[in-house]
Amino acid sequence: MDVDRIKNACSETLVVNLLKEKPMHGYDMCKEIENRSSGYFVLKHSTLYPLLHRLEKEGLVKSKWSEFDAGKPRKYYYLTKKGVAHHEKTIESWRELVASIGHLIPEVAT
Amino acid sequence: MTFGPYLAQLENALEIPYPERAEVISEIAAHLEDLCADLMFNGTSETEAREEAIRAMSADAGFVREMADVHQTAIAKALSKLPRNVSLGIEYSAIALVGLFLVFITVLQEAPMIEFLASGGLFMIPINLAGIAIVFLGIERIYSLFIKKDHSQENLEKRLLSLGFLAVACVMTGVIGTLVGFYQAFSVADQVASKFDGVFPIFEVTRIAITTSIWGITLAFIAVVVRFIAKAKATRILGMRSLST
Repeated sequence: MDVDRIKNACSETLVVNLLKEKPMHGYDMCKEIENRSSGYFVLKHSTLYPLLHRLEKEGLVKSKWSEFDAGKPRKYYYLTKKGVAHHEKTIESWRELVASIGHLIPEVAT
Repeated sequence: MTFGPYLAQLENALEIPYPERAEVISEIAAHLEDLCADLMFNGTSETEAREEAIRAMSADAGFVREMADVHQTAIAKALSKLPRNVSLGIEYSAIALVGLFLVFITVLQEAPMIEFLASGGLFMIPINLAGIAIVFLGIERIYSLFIKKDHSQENLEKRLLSLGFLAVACVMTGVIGTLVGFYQAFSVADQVASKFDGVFPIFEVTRIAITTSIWGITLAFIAVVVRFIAKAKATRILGMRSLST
């Protein structure tokens, strides 16, 4: 099984979930996801930035250059209302998916 | 070691329009700075940290392709899937069709326009050929820079010299045509005057003689406007390039 493909498929949900908490810039998102998953998910920049730009084109996130950290300008992304609604639907889909897999393969649920 | 050369290389490799390309480069520059700062915080020397940061970024070969997939225009995306020769053939055929259509509706449908073009004599032939070239080059520039949005460095300054040359050639040919027209009329002034009750028809002769100048200057004006627009776009984009790196 190609675990990397499954991880890639999770990237969008993980990124949007982070942005639901607070606006963040790309590098922070990479670090945060890696730390929270104890190194299981490592978002490459080749995955993250195209994903963020695609989400922005779809209107799910917006971005703004700001100088929060020691005056260095960084491009911060934040979730739009459309993004929040989309994320809620995605979480619901994930819940159903995980529950279905749990029913089909009980070993996975434990 | 600075990130400049790496970022310049990445900027050239990215096949996406400006200002998005400049923004991506600024974002990657910030990412590199943060990664470098983290590595230095963990005890790596500055030189090694910068090298390591660039190595980490360079290892992701899919970045350029993924970014192109997000930012390229629909036309550029569709054409990039075709073999180079086929996509060039399609582009040039489309440009030629639009050019022919423009020439047709502006010139050939108007009877007075045909008379106007014929009245200038032989000098109108090179001026008209240059005019057709200006129309095609103009459409190609507008398509390439504003519709397909190919903002690669080599494409930015393409055809500017040709447009400038054609503008000058149109004016020069037009003026020479006018002078030759006057010379021909004045050299047979007596014969001409005899057809007009002994009075040399200076206004009629001038009207015919300046036809080539008027048409040459008109086409040159179109060439100069197209060149100005293309040059302004190129300058704006090149300004963004230097800012982003």
